[in-house]
Amino acid sequence: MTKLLQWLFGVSLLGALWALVTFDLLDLSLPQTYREVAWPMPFYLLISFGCYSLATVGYRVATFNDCEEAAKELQEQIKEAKEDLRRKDTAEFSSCAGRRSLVECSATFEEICSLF
Amino acid sequence: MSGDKYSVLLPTYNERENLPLIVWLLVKYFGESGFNYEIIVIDDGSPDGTLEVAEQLQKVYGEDKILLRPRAKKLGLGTAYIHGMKHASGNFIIIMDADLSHHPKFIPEFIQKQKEGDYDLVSGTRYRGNGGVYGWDLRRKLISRGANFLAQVLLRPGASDLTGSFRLYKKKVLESLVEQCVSKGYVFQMEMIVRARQLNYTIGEVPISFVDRVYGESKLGGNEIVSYAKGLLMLFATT
Repeated sequence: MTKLLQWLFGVSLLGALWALVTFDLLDLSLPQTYREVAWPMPFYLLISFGCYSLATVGYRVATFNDCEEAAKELQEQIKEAKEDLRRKDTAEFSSCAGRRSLVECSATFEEICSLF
Repeated sequence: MSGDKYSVLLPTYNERENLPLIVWLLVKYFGESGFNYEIIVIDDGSPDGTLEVAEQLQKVYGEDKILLRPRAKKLGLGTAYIHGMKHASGNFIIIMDADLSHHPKFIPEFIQKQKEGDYDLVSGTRYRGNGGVYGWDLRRKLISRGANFLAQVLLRPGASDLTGSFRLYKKKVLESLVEQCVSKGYVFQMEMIVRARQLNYTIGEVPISFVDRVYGESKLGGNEIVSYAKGLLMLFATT
């Protein structure tokens, strides 16, 4: 059963139950209070869900971790990597004068790193 | 260890600058952990010469460690995975972004987690534990959490981060999932998780940090939001 069908099924079930109680469809002669409580239920549930959603999303945005440490660590490792590659690159390509070095390709990294 | 090998799929497009760095980090962390691995670079005809850089990296690290599976032009992510997997010799596949937003230091944690529960897939999550993001403003965070909440309510997927693309899969599992998934972009990653659930695959999670350094250049616009909503409704109606 797809999620859509599950929802339709669930909503239909609840809807039927609600109509049953509110409009006394089976002539069950329920006490008036039941009907009074049942009648605005869909509205209340919708509002409750709306509040729950806002509260949940709000909480999650507020507690969304900011990874300052990770960004710093990355920046340092980028420097380390470039140094290491510079060494490896020169060793490998000292005989291949025509090749561009790996590190030249990372030259614009300085620009990006300076943003941090 | 026992014969496990991890193939890292790196789809690239104009990653000339990032590629050496991500490879260096992968080599570092895999080296330290002792796990057997290979890195498969799937370049979609990048005009900036990413492939050249990849070839140079092959010379530095060896052709058994760096494999190249280039393509002529920019095609979808799903097909990139299929293409990359064809010659992957690992029994596990790791997918991640090549722009340094995903950090290889989490890979040993993914592997650990996978072994703990023999999970069919392990997903990196930005939303749980000490997972998180760097470089996002309030608007971006709001959209992210809001979209994720909507997806949780509608799809009840059993995973906290649906649009993340830093994951470890058993190779067989990825193969069977990619065949079935039809969407693109963010929705593709969501569809993978949802279908994994459908097929009763087990999913483990590891908190990760996502360092977004391109956010300034490519803000999340109305188009992406609309296509996300469409994709979400499609999954809602068909799974």
